[in-house]
Amino acid sequence: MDKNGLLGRMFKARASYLFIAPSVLILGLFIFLPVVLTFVMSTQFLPSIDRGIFVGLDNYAALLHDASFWSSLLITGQYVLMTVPFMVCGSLFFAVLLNIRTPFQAFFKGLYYLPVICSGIMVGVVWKWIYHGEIGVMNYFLGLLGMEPRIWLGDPALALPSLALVGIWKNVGYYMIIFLAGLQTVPEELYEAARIDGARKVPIFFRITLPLLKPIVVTVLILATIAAFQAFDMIYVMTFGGPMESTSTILWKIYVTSFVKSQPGEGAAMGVVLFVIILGLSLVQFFYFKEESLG
Amino acid sequence: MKKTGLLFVALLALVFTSSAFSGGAKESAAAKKVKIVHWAFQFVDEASDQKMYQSFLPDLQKTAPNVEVEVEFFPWDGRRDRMLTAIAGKTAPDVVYLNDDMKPLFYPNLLDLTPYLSADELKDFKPGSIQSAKYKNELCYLPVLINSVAHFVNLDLLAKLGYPADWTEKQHTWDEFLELCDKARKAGLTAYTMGPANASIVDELSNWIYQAGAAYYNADTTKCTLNSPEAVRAFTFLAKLWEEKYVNPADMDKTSAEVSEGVFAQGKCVAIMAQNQAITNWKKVNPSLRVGLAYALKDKADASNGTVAGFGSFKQSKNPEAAVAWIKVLTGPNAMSVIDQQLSFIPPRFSVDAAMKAKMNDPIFNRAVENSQWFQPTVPASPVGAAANEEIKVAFQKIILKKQPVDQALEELTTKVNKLLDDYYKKAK
Repeated sequence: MDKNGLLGRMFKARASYLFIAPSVLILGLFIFLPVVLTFVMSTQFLPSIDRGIFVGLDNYAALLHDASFWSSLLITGQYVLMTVPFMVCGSLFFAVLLNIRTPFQAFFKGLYYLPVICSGIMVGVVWKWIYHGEIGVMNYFLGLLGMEPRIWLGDPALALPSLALVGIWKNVGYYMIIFLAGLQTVPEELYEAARIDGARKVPIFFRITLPLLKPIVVTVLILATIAAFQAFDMIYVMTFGGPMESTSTILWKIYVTSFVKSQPGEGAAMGVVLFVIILGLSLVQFFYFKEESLG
Repeated sequence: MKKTGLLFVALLALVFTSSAFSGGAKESAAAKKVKIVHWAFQFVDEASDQKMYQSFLPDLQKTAPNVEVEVEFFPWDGRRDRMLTAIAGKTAPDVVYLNDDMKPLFYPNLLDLTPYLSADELKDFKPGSIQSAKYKNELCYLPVLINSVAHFVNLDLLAKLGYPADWTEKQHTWDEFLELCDKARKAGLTAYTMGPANASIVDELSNWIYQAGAAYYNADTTKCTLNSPEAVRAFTFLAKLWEEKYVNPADMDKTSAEVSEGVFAQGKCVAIMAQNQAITNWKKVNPSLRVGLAYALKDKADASNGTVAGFGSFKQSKNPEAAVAWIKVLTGPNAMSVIDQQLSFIPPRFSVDAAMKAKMNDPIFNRAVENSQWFQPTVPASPVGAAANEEIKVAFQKIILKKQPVDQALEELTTKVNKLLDDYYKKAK
């Protein structure tokens, strides 16, 4: 064996491969294998759980003509547009505020991060009560403003924005931490130099801070978009995809198709489509950073 | 000396040999013992349910003394997924509690119990219950309980509206029910409540659909018939309940369970359609709630609906005879009356009816048994049943939110369900 060839180098590093083997095995068994099986299942019709009939690309062809599938993609897109811009701007805003040294800085960091560590199910249950048509806090405040109460989760026009608000509330703390970390990397000398030159806070933010945070902004944007595509637990608790499928996002649609309607082949095909969409977003991020590093 | 020594060795050999044989005999006796696994979901609580199942073991010992039963408890939520996973992984239990909507889901993995039962053994079961337990002519489980969906009324609010105490003793029409709703609304009360947020609303819709003389499918379940004039009539009636605000619009985002244990249990609503077992939950929320069970309302037909649950087995069971022996005990008259008494279920056996009526001594229970004479399964078994229920839920939401007229919504629903059926039968050939 050529000691400098591929096999030779692998043999030299055999201890390393042994060390990573358990992780690779677990990843393979619980991540990669299910992905492969999902692809396989997407080409099948399963009249019962243990009997698959190969149907080729029929499930994908059916998706092309399935109005409710396209509707769920549209609803997912609407949810992304309702949540991501506010999450990115909101988390950046809170990060900038929390970057200012104050006596209660640590307390507020914990407070804003608290919703992130709460389970989605618990958050959904609590907010379902907040949105209650008769005794909910939201309608109480509307009443104080002299407005009519709303059926927040029972009105097709309001249900998705209501869920979006909860999604923003729950996740803004997570991206705030990422921005905070990024703000720590901005050299203090740049701010000092700007202040010496007489620059005020707002121009400093837009001319110095934001350009330097650009890679982090893009990362947060893509992470938030991927997370928004995967919204499920709060829908399960608060709206069941309704009313009238107005909150039936693509992941909810996959769940209902696979497990409620017992059409796992069709559900798997939808899962593959979602995989391709998210893969596309990840590739955008990859090529963006590649260009940035070459630039 | 030598002879004594030889005799001693022979004796020792005899002792060891007889021990070996008796050990072998013990082993073969032990080898004949069969252990089966029973997946259970709690009726009351795990401890008392476990005690209940243990109390049935003597009956099993009489017919199958070599069978041991291990009862494992799981939560109600997610049980279908759990069973599907077990079937796929070839780890399905020997005996499991099944509902009638599970038949198309698990078919053909369910053990057909027909060969294990004689005509005499099935004679005691109510025909509607056996019909509910069959799918594609196979008996998928033996019924142990009927849980009927029916109209309950708050007796105190009924009296407040000026209705006599014996209102529930007579069968009433849809028009009379509308009169009651109107009186309730004028008195500032919530007349009726429904929870349309998830597909469990279908349990209640069936009642109205059947009473209007409509049906979900044709006789061989190949075509959906929810666009019939009778079905349109049923849904138009329900739309009127929402339009006239006899149902609180704020209930739009609630499930049947939420409105049952919410507004009705709190004594704020005059009438509700609920399952018998809901009484137990209402009593926990509001012990002072006084409820009465009305006769099934009548429009074009006498009808009531509900679910029939029972115990079945899977084809992959390694001990089908032992499993069936335990199933027969669980659905025997003794066990059935014990299980059904816990949550006021109606017994599927004729022989248990009279004994249970005497034991329960409850007019609500007696009325539920009377209603069950018109019993039909909530939704006929169909290979696309669960998918169809989701479409029915969406169509109903469109109707009560006035996004579509009733006939258009039902026409669209029927087209969707028929497409599901056509696709299924085309691919499953």
